[in-house]
Order: sequence, then structure tokens, then C-alpha cells
Amino acid sequence: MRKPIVLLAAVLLTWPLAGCWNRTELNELGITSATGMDRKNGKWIVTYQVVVPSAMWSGSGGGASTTSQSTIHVFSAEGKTIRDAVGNSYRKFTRRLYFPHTDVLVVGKEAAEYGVSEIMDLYLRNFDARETGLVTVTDGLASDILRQFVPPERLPGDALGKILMQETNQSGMIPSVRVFDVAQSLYSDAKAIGVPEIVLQNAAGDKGRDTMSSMDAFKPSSKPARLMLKRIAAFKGDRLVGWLDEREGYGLSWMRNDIKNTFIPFPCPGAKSEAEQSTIQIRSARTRIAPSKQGDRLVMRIRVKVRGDLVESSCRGDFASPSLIESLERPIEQEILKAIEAGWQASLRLGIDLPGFADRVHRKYPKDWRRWKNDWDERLRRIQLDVKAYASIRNIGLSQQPIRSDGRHP
Amino acid sequence: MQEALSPSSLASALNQLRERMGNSSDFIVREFADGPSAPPRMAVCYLTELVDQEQLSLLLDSLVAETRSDDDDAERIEADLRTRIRVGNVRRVHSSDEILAAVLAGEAAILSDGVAGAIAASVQGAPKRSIEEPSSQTVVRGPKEGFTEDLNVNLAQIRRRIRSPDLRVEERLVGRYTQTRVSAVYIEGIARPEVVEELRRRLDAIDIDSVLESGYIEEFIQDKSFTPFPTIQNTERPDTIAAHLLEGHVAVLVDGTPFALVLPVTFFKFFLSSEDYYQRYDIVSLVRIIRFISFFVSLLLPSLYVAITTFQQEMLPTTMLISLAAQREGVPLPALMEALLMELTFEVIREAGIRMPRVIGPAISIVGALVLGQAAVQAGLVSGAMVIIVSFTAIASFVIPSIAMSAAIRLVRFGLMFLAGTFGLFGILAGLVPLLVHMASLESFGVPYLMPVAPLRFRNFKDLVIRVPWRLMKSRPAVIGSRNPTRQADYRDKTGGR
Repeated sequence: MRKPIVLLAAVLLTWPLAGCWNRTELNELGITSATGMDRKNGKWIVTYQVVVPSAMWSGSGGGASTTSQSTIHVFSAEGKTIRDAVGNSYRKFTRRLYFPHTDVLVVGKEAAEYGVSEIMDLYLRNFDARETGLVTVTDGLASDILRQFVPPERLPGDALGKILMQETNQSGMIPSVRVFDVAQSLYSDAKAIGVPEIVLQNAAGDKGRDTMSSMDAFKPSSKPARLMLKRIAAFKGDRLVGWLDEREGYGLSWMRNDIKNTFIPFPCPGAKSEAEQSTIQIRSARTRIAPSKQGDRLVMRIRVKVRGDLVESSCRGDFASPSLIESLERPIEQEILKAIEAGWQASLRLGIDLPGFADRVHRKYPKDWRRWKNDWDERLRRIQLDVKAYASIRNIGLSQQPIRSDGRHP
Repeated sequence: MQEALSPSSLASALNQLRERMGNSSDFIVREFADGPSAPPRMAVCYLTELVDQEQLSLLLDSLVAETRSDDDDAERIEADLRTRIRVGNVRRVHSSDEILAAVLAGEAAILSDGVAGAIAASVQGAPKRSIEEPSSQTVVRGPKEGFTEDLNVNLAQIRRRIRSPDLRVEERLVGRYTQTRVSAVYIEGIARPEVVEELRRRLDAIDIDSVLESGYIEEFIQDKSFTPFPTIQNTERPDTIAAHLLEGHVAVLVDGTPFALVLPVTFFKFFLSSEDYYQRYDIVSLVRIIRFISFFVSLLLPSLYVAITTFQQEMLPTTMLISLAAQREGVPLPALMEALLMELTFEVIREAGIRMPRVIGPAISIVGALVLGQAAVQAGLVSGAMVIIVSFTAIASFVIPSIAMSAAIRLVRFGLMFLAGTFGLFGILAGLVPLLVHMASLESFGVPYLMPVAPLRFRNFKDLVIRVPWRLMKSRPAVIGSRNPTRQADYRDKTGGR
């Protein structure tokens, strides 16, 4: 009888070694739905958007409550380092800040220009911050963005993440990036990445008007101001160096093979007016890039293959004829080439390798890369693109003829 | 006390018996004398409440109608008596102890002057309950009759189902005072002889003052006492017993209880119901999967909830976490205490529901559901999610057909909840692994408890989580039914490949 007891005691004593006894009740957690990083006067300012669970769901009734209590609580803390700021935040907050459910990291302009490597280090070093969180940059202060609501979603942090994901999946102009992607780009050869910019824009187009930060934002059916994705912040290394508009970003998405599902409007072949437009919805897209040497120059062979459905058309002609469908495919290819060119020009303008050519070259010519990497910026400028796109329309929809094909065309 | 009664003195023999019974008022000695003052020639002894009055009067009739023969030869008198008694079962008993045992079993002892010992005639007629539907194991489809407290009735129900001369009944009396009839039932040629032999050995070793229910026997003959898991199945359904006998199991029936024991059994047997074999196989398979899911729910759900909400919150989807956090807002107790409190409350309600008189039943449900469920949540004492968890756990535990097994799960559940509350998911695993090791170490009469999973016996998987159609179950289960493996001939062959 003695032996089993000793054995049992030995086993029991090993259990605490697993270190799993940091018990926290749910109501002691400050669930952070979004984090903002700013810099001011050489100090980090960390802003938390903490969920107020009782406002999200009323206790006994279940479902979303109609109370006017804010569903989030936003506050900032500053410190010499980020963790220092987190530590300082406990001077003004009652609960243990809890990061695994943080969907979005918003980086303020000043912090982005200062460099994000410290933030990346924090995310990768700590187990409670998840590197799968999405990253956005804002032109002003991150803390301003975190205060805004995104009606009709009750949880703005979560909603921001959804906006970013929707954009990526449905159009691909401003592809979302995760903390992990940013960290990875720091270690890549290209050392460049584009991060979506989030702005608070009102109807007049001017930014930064603080009009969505109270629960009143839920009351009208339409508010003049709302959070939206605008441009792409281009990072070289860990620093923000410039901005790309969504058209340039779209081109980069094509080059980086990030396009999943997008709409391409294109003019009809032989169109007589601007009104003759069609739209294709891309169902599958694939971009292949192969570098090659031509003397001292590098040539990037880019081949884009897309397939999609015609979803809208005011072109004239017989849609039942394969030759017309084929002629419709040419302008689509042209549109893709134009987008890629715009993206490439933007890269050259900022002097950074946003398409990530460096990594491809390194992989293809590992020996030459050792020489080239020292003057890569210079070489990048001289890279020649050889772009071809192949579009094919798979489905023209339910109607054979455009509605206005009776000659009564404007 | 083994000395034979003196053949000459009936009176002294009767006195001796009366003295042994302490002149109990229900001990009747009916004497037959030739004349008012003549000494009795013959006597009938019985316990008045244990005999059937009609049979007794038939017996007495045959004795009174006797034309007195003046024969003094004991042998002749006895032969004469035997032919005359119009009762089915008659046997010879010798010592006074044997006579008493017969009388206590409800027989009538006929003593005759000049005859050593007595003749015991079966005129039993103790009051008994009629056959009713079993209350603990009900079925929708299947026989509705259950065992009663009378061993003979129960054996009759088995015999009626298995009309084979190979069905064996071995009876012995256990209990110094109760002298309870305990019968081992098995089918010769199917049951493994070593199991039957081992059962005999264990039954013979029992020396206790009383056996009032089969639970006494179960605790004595089970392989291991210190385990929450039952290693002997109990049932009050004769069809279940018959099915098990035909698979090679051995049944133990105890007089005075409707619950019969089945052995050896494995862990998975406790998840099967007799109805599984009466309903269509596909539906049964679905139901069985649900039962196994319910097993895990009932074992793990509260501990998983406690572990995940207090340790591994990152495992929850964000919206669920927020919803749960909202419900816990303002709840004063830690999740573990909350879970234990609710579980305890449920156990109390359950126990109260069993013990209290039937008429008060609805009152308990109202108090249980409204006061303890809804009101506790509204008062902010417990979170709504916890009530859901505990209720679902409780309902899931009733899906398991065996009450013994669901009780075992209940016991283990509390242990796991403590571990979950102190060590999180790690604690649950730290509890489950030793539990599995323990289960793998169990045996029931030489059969590994976790068979056919450990050790693997693929043949038995036909009737485990799923049940294949009857025509595909051509063999008896491995190990338990290995003595006579073939259950049926190929149905397709006989029907011409249909």
C-alpha cells in the first residue's frame, strides 16, 4: 500500500511543474479587441480597445442589448518601451489585459516612421500576442482610430479586421497583411511590404474628424464619417517611406499573386463611347514570375492567367459567338497590364522592391545575389518587365444579348 | 444436530422441532391421531404464511383419507405415503435441520410415527408480485415483462426464452440466516467452463449472515473493489439475460430481487440496450454513437468548461468568449465553485426525486427548474452558461443505459472538475490518462475490461459503436463466446443469394 501512495504523490508533485495554474476568471479579463501603437516625444503610447462584455450581451436576456453603454473602453498608456507602457496601463485599468483575441494592430504614422521592429519583436517574443493579427497604418494617431465605431458591428476591433479581410477577398486592391507578414518582410531580401491604411473619412473627404466615437454612431442610418481603407503604406525595412493609392496597390496585388476574387471593368472592343463597358468577375487568378539575366540587366517575366465570369456588359454583338467572347478577353488583359505597370511605377517612384523581386532573384541566382544585394536598389531601377496576361471568360451569365442591343444604343 | 430422529417417537420429534422454532406462532404442526386420546400417528408441519392453502388442503385430504394400515414397517409406511401424496414435488429429508430448512423454504414436512426423518412436499405459496414492466430499463420495442422478486418466476422467464436442455441452473444457498437461493445460469457448450468454475469458487467462498439483494453478491464476486467502474452488469430484463447467455455470459439470479447479474462484462457492454437488437441496425448505430458522445459529454463537459474559461480562454472564438464573459460579469464565485455548486444542486434534486413520494414529484421539478435554474441566474449567483452546461451534462448522463455506469461517470466527473479547476486542460489530461490506465488494468472474470478496443478484437467491432445487420453477425463475440463461435448459418446461402 505504501508504494502506490509514494508513486501517486510523485506524480501529483509533477503536475504543478507544467506551470498551468495561472487561473483567471473570465470577468477578470480585459479582452483587448484592438491595439494601437503611437510614438510621441520619444515614448511609446499604447492604446487599448477593451471590450465591455456586459454591454455586448446583456446578462440574463441574452442577445445584443439595446443599452446605450459603450461596448468598448479605450485608454492609452505610455512608456519607454512597449511592455513598459503595458505595465503602466495597470495604473488605470482594473483587469488583466488579455491579447490573444486582438484582431487588429493599428500603427500611428509617427510610430511607423520611427520603425516597427520593436513591435514585431514584442509580438513574436510573447505567447499571448498573436502574430496572426492584422496590421494597419493610419496617417494620424492610432488612438484616434481605436475610438471609432463601425456600425452596425458592435465590436469595432473585430469589424476593422472584417473590413480588411473583406477587401482582400472581394477586391484585392488593398491586400491585408498580418503581423507575421510584416515580421517576415523584415527578414526577406526585398525588405518591403505594403500595409493598408485606415482613415476616418467623412463625406467632405477631409480626414480625422472625430465623429464616430460614441454610441450615438449607431442611431442614424448613415453617418457622414466612417472608417475606411484608403491607401497602402509602403514600408522599407521597418520604416514607413511612402504611400500608394489603391490603383497602384492593385497592380502590386497582381504582381504578388494576392488576387483571389476581384471585379475588372473594361471597355468593350471597338467601343464608340465611354458608356460601353463590361465587368468581369475573376474567379481564379495566378501570377508566375520568373527572373532571367539579359546581359547586366534583369528581366522579370510575369505571366498572369485569369479566368472569370462576365457579370455585366453593354457591349454590342452576338454573345453566342465565340469570336466575340474572345475579343472581349483582350481588353481585360490590357487592364491587368495597365494595373501592373502602375504598381511597378509606384515601386520605382518610392525606390523599394514592393513586388518582392529580390527574393525571386536570390532564389534563382544565389551566387550572383551576393554581388547584387549591395547595389540592389540601383539594379531594381533597371529591371525590365516582360508582362503578359491571359484572360478567359468562362461564363457569360444567363442572358445572351445585352439589353440594349436593339440599336437604340446611346 | 445431524442425528436421525428416533423412529419410534413422533411426539418427541415434534417437540424437538417446536423447540427449534422457539414456538413461533406461525409454525403449525397438524397432528393426525386415531382417536381423541391416542398418540398421533402422523403430523404435518409448515409455516402458515409460506404455503399455498389450496395445495395444503389437497395434501391434508390425501392424508386424512388414508385407511389406517397397521403396518409397522417404516419402509412400507413411507412408500405408502409417497404414492398417496397428491403433490408434485416430494423428497425425503433426514435430519431435523433438513426438516427445518424445508419448512422454512415453504414446504410441508410430513412426519410419520415409525418413519425416520420426514417427507417434504412442495406446497409453497408465499405472496408474490405479478410480472410487471421493468421500471429501470424501459424499451419502446421489445418484451415488456421484467423479473420479479421470486426466483422461480425469474427462472421460468429465462427457461421460456431458451427452450434448450443445455440451459443449466445451479442453485446454492447463501447467507447464514437468510439462506437465500442464488442461482448461476449458463448454457452448457457456450459459456466458458473456466468462467463458470471461477464463479462457483467465488460464490462458495461467500460466508455472510444475509443476502438481501444481488448487490451483496456483486460486491463479493467482482474482480476489484476499489474502482468506480462496475465489472458486473445488472439487469431486470429476462430478454437481456437470455441474449447474454446466448453470447456466452453467465447470469446470477438471487431470490428476493428482480435484479440479475451478468458476467463477465466489458466496459462497452454498459452502453448497449436490449432494444438495440430489436430495432433496425442503422437507427441503432446512430443511437449508439449518440450514447458514446453523451458519455464524453457527461464525463467531460463541466470540466472542459471550467478549464477553458479559467485557463485556456484563447481556445474560444472571440464572440463566444465575450458572450461568456458577459454572463460571468458580476458572478461572485469562481467558475470551479460555480460548477461544483450547480452539480451538487443537481445531485440533490436527483436524489430527492428518487426518494420522495411520487405525488410530490412535480413540486420538485418546479423548484429545481425555476428556483434553482432561472432564479439563480437572474439573481446573478451563477452564469446562464453554467446552468446550460450542468443541465446538458445531467441529461447526457441519463442517455447511458446502465445506471451503474452513469453513477461511475458521475463520480469521476467530480474528480475531473477539481483537476480542471486547478490545472486547466492539463489537469483534465492528467486525470484522464491515469483513468484510462486504470480501466485497462481492470478485468471481469478473466476478460479485459476494455476489450475489444484493448486488446484489439476486430470481430467484436460489428456490435460495438455500430451494430451490423443480424444476418452479418455470424459469430458470437470473441473471447466471451469463443467456445462456440458460430451463431448462424449464412442466410444468403439458404435463400439462394438474396
